[in-house]
Amino acid sequence: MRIPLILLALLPLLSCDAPGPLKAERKPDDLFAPSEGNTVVVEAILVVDAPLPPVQVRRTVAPGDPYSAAGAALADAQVAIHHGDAVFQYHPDPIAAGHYLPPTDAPSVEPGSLYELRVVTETDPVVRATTQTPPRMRIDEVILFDDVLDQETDEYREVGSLRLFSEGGDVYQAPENQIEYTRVIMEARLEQDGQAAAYQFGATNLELNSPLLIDSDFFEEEDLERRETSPLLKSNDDGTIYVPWDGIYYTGRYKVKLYAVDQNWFDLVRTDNVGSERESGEAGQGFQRPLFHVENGIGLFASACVDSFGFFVRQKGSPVCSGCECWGCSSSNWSGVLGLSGNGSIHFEKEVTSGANCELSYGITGATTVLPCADCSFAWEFTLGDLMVEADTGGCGDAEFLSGYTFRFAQGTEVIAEEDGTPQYGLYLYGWGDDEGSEKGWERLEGGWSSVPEEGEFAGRWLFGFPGD
Amino acid sequence: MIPLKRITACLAAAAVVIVLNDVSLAQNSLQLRKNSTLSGFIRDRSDGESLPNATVAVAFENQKRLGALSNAEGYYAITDIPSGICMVTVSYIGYATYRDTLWLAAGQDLRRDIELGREALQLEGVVVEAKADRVEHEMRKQPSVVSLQIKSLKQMPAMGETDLLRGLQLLPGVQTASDFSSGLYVRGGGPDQTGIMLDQMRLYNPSHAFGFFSTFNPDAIKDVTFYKGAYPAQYGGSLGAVLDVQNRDGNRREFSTSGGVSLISSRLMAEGPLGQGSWMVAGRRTYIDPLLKVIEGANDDLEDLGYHFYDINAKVNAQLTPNDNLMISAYGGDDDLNVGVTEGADSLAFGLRWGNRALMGRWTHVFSPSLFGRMIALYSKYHSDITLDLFDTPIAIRNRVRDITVKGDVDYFASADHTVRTGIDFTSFRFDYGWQYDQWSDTLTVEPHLLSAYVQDDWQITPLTEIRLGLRGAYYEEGGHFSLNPRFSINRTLQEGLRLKLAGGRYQQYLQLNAAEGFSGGDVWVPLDETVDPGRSLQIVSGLEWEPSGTYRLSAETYYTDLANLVVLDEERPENVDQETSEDLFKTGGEGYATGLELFAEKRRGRLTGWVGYTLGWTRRQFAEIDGGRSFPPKYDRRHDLSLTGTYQFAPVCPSCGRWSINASFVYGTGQAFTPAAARYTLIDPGAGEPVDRFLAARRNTGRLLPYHRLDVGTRRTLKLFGEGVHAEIYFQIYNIYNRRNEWFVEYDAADSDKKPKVVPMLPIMPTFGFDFRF
Repeated sequence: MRIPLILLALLPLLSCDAPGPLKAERKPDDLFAPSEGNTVVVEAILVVDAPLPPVQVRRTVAPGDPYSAAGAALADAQVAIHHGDAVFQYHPDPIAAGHYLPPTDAPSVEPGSLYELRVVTETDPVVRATTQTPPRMRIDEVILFDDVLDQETDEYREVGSLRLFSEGGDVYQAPENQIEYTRVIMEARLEQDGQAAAYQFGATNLELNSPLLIDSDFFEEEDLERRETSPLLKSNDDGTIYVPWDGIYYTGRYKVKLYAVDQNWFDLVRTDNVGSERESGEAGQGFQRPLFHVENGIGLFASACVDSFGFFVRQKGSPVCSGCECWGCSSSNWSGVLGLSGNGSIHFEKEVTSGANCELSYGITGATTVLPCADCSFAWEFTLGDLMVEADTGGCGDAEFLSGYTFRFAQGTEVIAEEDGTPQYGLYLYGWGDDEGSEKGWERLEGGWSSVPEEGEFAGRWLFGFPGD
Repeated sequence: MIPLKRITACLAAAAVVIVLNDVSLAQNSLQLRKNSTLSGFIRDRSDGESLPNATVAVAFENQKRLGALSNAEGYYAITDIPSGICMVTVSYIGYATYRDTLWLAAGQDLRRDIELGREALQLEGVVVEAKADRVEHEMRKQPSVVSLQIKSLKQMPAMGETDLLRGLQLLPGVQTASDFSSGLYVRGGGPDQTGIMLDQMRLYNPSHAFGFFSTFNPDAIKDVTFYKGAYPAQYGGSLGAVLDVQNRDGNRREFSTSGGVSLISSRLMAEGPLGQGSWMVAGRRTYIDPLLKVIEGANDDLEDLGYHFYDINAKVNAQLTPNDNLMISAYGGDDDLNVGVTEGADSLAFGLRWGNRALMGRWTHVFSPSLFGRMIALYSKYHSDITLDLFDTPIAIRNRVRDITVKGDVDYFASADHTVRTGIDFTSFRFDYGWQYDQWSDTLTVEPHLLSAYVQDDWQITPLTEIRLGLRGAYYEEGGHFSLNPRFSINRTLQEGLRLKLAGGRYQQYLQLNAAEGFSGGDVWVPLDETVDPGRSLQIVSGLEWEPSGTYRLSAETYYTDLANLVVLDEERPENVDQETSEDLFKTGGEGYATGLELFAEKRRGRLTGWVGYTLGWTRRQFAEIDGGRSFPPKYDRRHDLSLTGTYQFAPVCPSCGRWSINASFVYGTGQAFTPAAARYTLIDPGAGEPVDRFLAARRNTGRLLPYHRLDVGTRRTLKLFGEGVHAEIYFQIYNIYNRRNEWFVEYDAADSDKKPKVVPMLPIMPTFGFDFRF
């Protein structure tokens, strides 16, 4: 009797799929709707009191086709931003297709003002979008409250406030900015000329290798980003706004930006599929087209007013510590060598006081010279090839997973040092910056160096390096 | 608040008393006409259970016939009977027809309680059924009425164990959201548009195991009446359909038990006499928790893993006098899921709990032979809690619904041509909808009151034409909404066995359910307040029914429902916005319609019984804030829906041998609507400042999953154990025998440019077996 019962129980696992026409089978591409490829996608975010931002223009691609953002870039468009009677004609970025740069003499973005984006292509109707910039907003104070409700007053007790960037000094070292994870409730008090459509926090962990604040096998480092955003929030009538802890996952320095956003930003994020699990959910239930507010296209033409604050967060229950001593200080460096023929390698070394060290190298492939930045003498683009790990005692982390990634470095024109008679210049990286607007561009790497020795073992080859942290 | 509550309660009581007095006076005046009245209760001879909707007919020598139908409590009355000799027949499905000859004196009121004996099912090798369908009269008056016999339900193949709602899903016009859901999607309406009542107590979430099963214990059920649309004035509060389930009163003759064991749960029902009345207790519990404890023991990180459900039904039925009956009915059931994970100093805990409690007290009184009244007090409470504690960040959604209802109504058998039913009820609701996210928490509490009254007349206009006219008025305190909702149905007999029917009405709904479409667990009910108008539907149904013989019945029905003031939960609002009103919580002002054609053919007698049902349907919704205001099909829009179900009973090999039967059901439905991807693109996540690869959704629900179809088969064998003492039945069933992996939903992963979309399938082939008994 036991065997038939076991077989019965296993039947669902052992059984074959339905035969022939009874089988529920179809090609994955049949799960797509008729293509809406070739739709123009615009992207620009105006930040109040900041220069006009670059504009990114791409096209959509049929859902079943191979996709890359670079391949979807739309070149040869005419891009302009209108503000009142003024028209700011954009010009294409010579080194990044689909990336359009504002005129250098464009004024800063004004608060409470209407801007219109127009994109003209040869084949499409004019793509238009407008944004009404939000009023000026400034963080006046970030108050800390005890997270335990005071039984006598039935309120949360105020226990201090954060030092703000505007107060000067290193806010990350300030004693009042040393916070134990989730032990305080934070509330920002805003000074603003009026309410924005909504508010959103963006929190960035400034460390490279700090550990997770939560100790769990269920969340790995690759699951949790060092840069996260909060849900959309409304400010209270008294101009205060609660600072949520979610999105803060790592020990160390956090820079938190508060965006007072316009209606377009608000509508896109609240109706978006990203970050709200709507991309998977049940059929028809959550997957939906966001509100774009772009005529004859899709995308985001939005505006925001930004302010930020910072603090240092340590693990719950851990003793007071500061900087990398909380998780083990390290010294790490990347260094590269590249010949004129395009052959070369990149080396990474890391030493941590905890003993979690690393030493590895990548071969350089596909190296080619590209147009450098305005303050640079030359630039190379290359892809990291085969990885060779020479030592790994737990310190390599993400450094082990860079094969296939393409980078673009350039040598600056400013001499920063001299070694054995060879001048060393600053080093630039083309990528996504950390500043407001976060547009892709050249950024000088802090601590980076670059030189081309005329003599010795590396004569005629390009040497460069930068700190791993 | 309080004065209104008192005033409405007083008004309700006063109205009932006035109606009773007026009708009693009318009755006295009728007696002056010297005609006679025959009245009484119809009951089962074996257990004393009252038999609702039994057909009572009085025939005279001059071929004239008068008839009546027993009401929900089994009471009947035929008035205006001329003095003299007459033949009385009472028929009810599965029972031997009762026949008697009476002599009635002029003006005599004859009380005749009648007991029907169950008819033997086996007669010379042929399976027979009684002549009359117990809902035949109700179905004549009203289209779109369905009755599902529990005995038939138990014959159908099932997933794990017999389930009422899953059985109803096999009827034309009724759809399901998934293999995992017992929710009723009736004629293009969502599950909240069907009001579900057990002994008149509203159950807000009648599901166990996330919708896998319903809360109705099949052993405890006596009667099921299901109005798929255009329901009469005695009901209210739902835009679409009404499911009215009555539990057994209990065996008045002897103690008896029944129960069963399946792979999912065990159940037991006991009943017996109590003085002149009876009692009944039925319970059911799943036993999956020991298995989960084994899993928990094998994993050090799991701290608290458990799931169980149970339900209990109880009833006490006291016959105080021949004319007075007091009944108390109670229901309680819970589902409880806990998942706890510890990891170092951190922990994660998830809890999902929901359940219903309901209590009903009913006093019925025969005021006069032609006037039957009932006073009912109801209490129903629903709770659901979803809690998540994620590394000290508490997240919770809590919902409480409590309603207390006092109602009174009367059946007045005014004449042979008119049966009037009227009533009034007052309900006091309390809703709490609370949520917590980290340090934010908010609670929406609303305590609205609803006062309703109705009157309904079943009028035999001509021997071939019946009409039911009804009017239901309701005053909903929140927003001061007053509405008059007329209802009607007309039935015209074209020839013997061929009937043409038409019905319609206006309906309103004041409560809104927020639930996932794929499964039901932790459903949230929220009342509409003064900021949002109640949902409204206008329904019209027409039908043609043909019964060429007592064996076969064929019907065709068309329906059209116009929907307005629909709402859906607004999931796009900022997290920390106050949710103090319905307007804060919902996207409002939705409109829609549902229309379709249903065909139904049933074979009711013989060794082979079963039915074929087909529905051709359309339904659409439109909200200004969804998909740019475009009209879209909801997920459960189903163009074609076909169901076949059949049971074949073999003759026993010998008189004392058990009987084998085989059964099968096949369902086919157009694939559900879903929103497919129409393009790929990259757009910045503005807060993070990083580009994100994405899929662009096409217009809402413009894609279709593959058609759903499934064949279930099963076999049953009756046994007699311990001599004749125990009647038992063993069964073996295979769900989805050809293992079609029907599509459930689609996943797109934009992060990986090479990844193809993925379909998540529903249940594979599932064999089950079990054992039922009765003694």
